[in-house]
Formats: sequence, structure tokens, C-alpha cells
Amino acid sequence: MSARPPAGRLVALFAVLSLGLGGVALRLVTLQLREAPRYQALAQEQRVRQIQMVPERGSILDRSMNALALSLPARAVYADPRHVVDSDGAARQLAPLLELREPALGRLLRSDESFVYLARRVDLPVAQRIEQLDLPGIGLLDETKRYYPGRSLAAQVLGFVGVDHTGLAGLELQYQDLLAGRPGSAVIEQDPSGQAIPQGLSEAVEALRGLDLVLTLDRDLQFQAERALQDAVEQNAAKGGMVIVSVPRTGEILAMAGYPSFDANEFSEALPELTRNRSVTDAYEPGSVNKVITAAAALEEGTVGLNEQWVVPDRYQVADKLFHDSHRHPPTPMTLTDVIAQSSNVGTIMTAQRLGPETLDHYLRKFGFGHETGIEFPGESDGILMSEDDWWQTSMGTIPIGQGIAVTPLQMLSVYATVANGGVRVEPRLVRGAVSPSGEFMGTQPSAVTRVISPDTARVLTGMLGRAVEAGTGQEAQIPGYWVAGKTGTARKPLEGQLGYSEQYVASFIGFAPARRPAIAVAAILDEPATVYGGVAAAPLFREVTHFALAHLRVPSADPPRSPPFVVGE
Amino acid sequence: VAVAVRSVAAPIARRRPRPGRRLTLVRRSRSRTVRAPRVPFALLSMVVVTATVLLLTGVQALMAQGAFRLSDLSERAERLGVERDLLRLRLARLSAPDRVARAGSQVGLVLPEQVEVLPSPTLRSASSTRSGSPTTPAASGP
Repeated sequence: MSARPPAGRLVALFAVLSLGLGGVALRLVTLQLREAPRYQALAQEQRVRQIQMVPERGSILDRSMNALALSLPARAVYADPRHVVDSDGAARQLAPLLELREPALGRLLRSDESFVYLARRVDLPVAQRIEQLDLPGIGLLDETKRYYPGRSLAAQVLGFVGVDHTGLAGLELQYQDLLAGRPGSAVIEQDPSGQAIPQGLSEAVEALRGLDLVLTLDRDLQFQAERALQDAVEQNAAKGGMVIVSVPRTGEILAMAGYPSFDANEFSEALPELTRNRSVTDAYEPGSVNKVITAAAALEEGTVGLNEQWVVPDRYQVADKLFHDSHRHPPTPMTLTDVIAQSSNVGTIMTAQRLGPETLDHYLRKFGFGHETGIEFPGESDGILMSEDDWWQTSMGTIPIGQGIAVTPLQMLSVYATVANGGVRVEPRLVRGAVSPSGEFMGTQPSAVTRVISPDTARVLTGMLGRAVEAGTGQEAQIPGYWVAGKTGTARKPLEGQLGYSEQYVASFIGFAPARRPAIAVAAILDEPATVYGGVAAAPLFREVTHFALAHLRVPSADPPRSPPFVVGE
Repeated sequence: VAVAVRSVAAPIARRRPRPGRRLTLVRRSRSRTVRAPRVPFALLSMVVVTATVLLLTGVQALMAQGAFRLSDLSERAERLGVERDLLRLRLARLSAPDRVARAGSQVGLVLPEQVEVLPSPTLRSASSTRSGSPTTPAASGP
């Protein structure tokens, strides 16, 4: 018999093989045609990773390119509690590194969530130590952290950024768009271990770093102003204080200090009122420093003669209110120079009455009161200056001597800077320019200028202010070797929420130096000092800051005087 | 075998030889049957294929090596960038005025009571002409 297999078996075998191959072919067709996109997507999901690239935030630099704020890479530490093996052990190891309390950390690690942040913006060295611990369920994410190396240095001016690196206050907020840069993205193909596959898919749109902001602030001068201010506040048992230093010719702010202040690295722990730049955001009643506007208006309008004397009593009735000078004196013949030098309230009110409310209001506004200075700072206050139509009957007694109106310290300094600059008002500014990532410096436009008073009036006023320092109320502001021009201010603080004044005072001294060729204008203000007079409390602070600034800026001292420098009105 | 014999033998048996068409032996013509030598062609082909494969492999290897090197260099650049940033921060912290002042006071340094900046004799005349005087003569009054 032959070994011929039965035909039935062959048919069966053929059928089985055909079915098997058919099934495989069908599956192949299904995979290749119908399900291909799904599997392709799954494979891509495993291999291809899209990364959002956060741009590095630009630095903030002082006028000499010293870093005041800069961003560095940092890590966020997170946990997936489902994968944490020993939560107590992990908490014990992580707590000292993250400066967190162990029980609180343990609670986070035992939570039901699949993702919890343990700490944000952790410094790289600390993050590396955590990485080395290789704890299951603990991971690290890339992010950046904002550092303020000077801690409280100019903190109220710089402001701060939030966790997502968005500016929340100060210049960080004002120039958010410029500092933030542009985000980028990258698509890369990785192997299962996370290594990029060479020649794999790789597309990248680079993140564009933010611009570096170059300020007009001088780091050393800022520090010295803050230190002198802190000393003055403590010595005078004051509630706080402010110091501003500016260049009258350019409007550049060299220092802007406020005390008490806060550490910008720990802004979340600071009281909100400490984070405000009160030199710009808060208005106060300036008191006698405002008399310079009354005098400027009188000189400019010619309502008072330079050598004209008139008898000034120590008390004067305006409507239903009796105004008086700070010290009792018999009716005394005074010139306008004497009125300013001795800071006579009555003499100033009498001068203002020759002007009339309309003219006085005009000059107050011309000097910049009632509107923003143009410094471009978030939350800047306009101050409070009522329309002349709404003035009280007593306003012609209060406003000429700086009560009944409210201005920011920067607005008040701007008045003196205008006089120092020959009668031309230059808008103050805090930013000199920006540096592009390629290192190119782009300067800002020069500040806007407005002529407020004539050069002659400015010169006469400078002489009057010099006399106030030489022989008047501001003698404590004298600096050996320099002619200083300035004015004291002692203003009562209004009651909060009701009409009338409290027994608390703001003491101030605002001026400029050297008077012959002003290099800087300085405002020194103390809030509620124990010694209320500006000439006693604030003038020494002015002197200390101005003296340091003149030396720091290498401003030569004046020639030895051959004759008294200020003979105005005598 | 039996089946094959049957099926082939039957037609042969029915075919009759045709007169005048007998097969004869002829000399093989050399010109018509020249064939290219096979060995050199095969060798050449192998060489070409091998060389191509080796070249492609080499290029691939070089590219992979380059890619890894690029990856390493990128990592190194990133690491150095971080190091640079940390040094920038350190510099900023070390040169911060409060730290310098603290360090200075620790070694007994104090700020001078009086600092005098003297005008340059060469610049004095120029500056005095530009500065003018804040003093207004009485005659210039209103």
C-alpha cells in the first residue's frame, strides 16, 4: 500500500492553516489599516515628549549693573503618596532638607492624593541631596526661583514675584512683560530610560529670555540711605520714614528708601503695609516744605517784591480759624526770604492772600500736585488736591503752608528738583534702560520736561532756601564744604476717618546740593518722630544722606566763600 | 515511475519520423556562446555591497556617536550654565552692601566722619562758568 495521506486530512490541515493564516492576515490588516493611528499615537505617547520651556526671567540691575534681582534654576519637590513606601522615614529625611516640620510632611506623604507638592523653588544643592536619597514616590520638577541678593535692599521698589514667576508688586509687576520673556517648547523622542533617541524626532522653539532691567538706583547709595533712615527712625522713636535721592537735571532716582521694610526673598511673611513703596503710593500733608510753592508763585507773579518788607504778626485770622507761627514773636518786619528762612506760617499766608486762590491752585498743579509724577510705578497716588471751587474758606490759610492738601513724598521732592533745575520740571524715573539677551543696551527715552517757573525765580528761590539752611530753621542740614538749599517741614497728621488734626506730626527736610550747581535733590521724611520739628528730626537725616551721596558721586566741595553766598532779600 | 513512463511513452510511440530531417552534429560556434566570467562579477558585487553596508554602518555609527556627543555637550553646557548662575548669585550676595558693611565692621572699619572731594584745578574754571550763581542780586528784584 502507498503512504498517501488521506485527502480529508490534507483538506483539514489546509483549512486549519488557511484559517490561521487568514486570522493573522486579518489581524495584520486590522492593525495596519484600522488601528494603526491609535497604536501610532500610543507609541508616540511613550516615546515622544513635549516639553514647555519656561523662559528665564530677566534680572534687575542697578545703574552700575549690579544684580538686585536675578532668577536661577530651582526644583519643585513633589510626592506621589501611593508610591511612598515608608512615609515616616521619608518625612524624617526630607524635613530638615526642606525646612518643614516632620509631622506636617508625614501627613502630606500619607494623603490620598496622587500628587502633592512638598516644597516649591528649592535651591539646586538641596534638590541634588534629595535626589541622592532616591526615595520611592518622591520626585523633582524643574522651575526657577527669584533671588534678591540684597534681601531688603530696595525691596519696596523692586517688588516681588509669585510662585509662577509673575510680578506681584513694584517694578517686577510694572515691567512684567519686559522681564518675563517668551515661553518655548520642545518635542523630543526618548527611549524607555528617558534618554533622547539620537536622530529621533526633535523639534524645538527656544524660550526667549526676558530683558534685564537697568534701574537708575545706585546700590551703594540706596544701602546708605536705608541705613541712615533706619538709624534716624530708631533715634527719633519714629513710626517710620522715607528718603529719596534724585538727580534734578535728569529726573533719575538714585535711592528710594522706606523703613520699616521687608526681605523680598520672604515676602509672604511680610505685613502687606511694609511691602508698599510709600514714597510713591502714600500721600501725606507736607506742611512747611510746601511754602516754597507759595513763594515761587509770588515771585513769578510779582505780587511780592524781593526786598519788600511787611509786618508779620505771630497770629492771623482766616475765616473762622486763627493761624499762628510755631513760636511767639512780636509783629516783625520780614522779607519773603525771612518768611521762608524762618518758616513763618503767617507770613506765607499773607503772601498767598496777595496771590488769590486761583493763582495758588494754578501753581500747585503746575508743580505737579494732583496728578501722577510719570515715574511709572504701580499704585502711584495722585495725592489729594481739591478743585479750587471746592476749597473751604480756611483753605487760603491751610494750603499755602502745606496743610489741607496731600502729596506723595516723590511729588514734594519733584518741586525742589524743579527749583534746583532752574525752574524746569523733569519727570522722575526709575529705569535707565534694558539689556537684551545678546547684551545690547537699550536706553529709555529722556524724561519729559516742563518749564514751571523762570530761571530767575528759580535762582531767587534757591537763594531763599540756602538762607533757610544757613541762618534759618534748617541749620542742622548744613554740610561742611557744600552750600545746601532746603526747607524744613513740620506737619500735623489729620485724624483718620474724621475732620481735624491729631497730635502726631510728620517731620521733613527737602533740599538740594550743592546749591550753586545742584547735583542731587534729597527728601528726608520721618513719620511721628518723638522730636516733631523737621529741622531737628529730619534735617540731620538729610545731611547724612546728602553728605554721603555727594562724596559717593565725587561732587567737589565748593570754593571757600569770599562773600556770604545767599544775600537774597536783605 | 510507472505512471510517468506510461504517459510519456504513448505519444512517442505514435510519432513517426519525418524523412530528410535528421539531426546532425555541428561544431559549436565560439562567437555565439561567449559568456562573461561569473567570478569577478560576483566578487565585485560583493565588494560593492559590503563597502556600501560598511559605509552606511559607519555613517550611522558616526551620526549616533555625534548625537551622543551632542547630548553630552548639551548636558555639560546646561550644568556649566547652572554653575555660572550659582556663581552669579554668590557674587551678588558677597558684594551686597549690607554684607560688605557687616564684614567691614567686624574687622573694625568705620565710615569716615568727613569726606572731601576736591575740584580738579583743570576743570574748575570750566565748571564755574557753567554753574552760575544761586545768589540773585537785589537789583534783579521785582
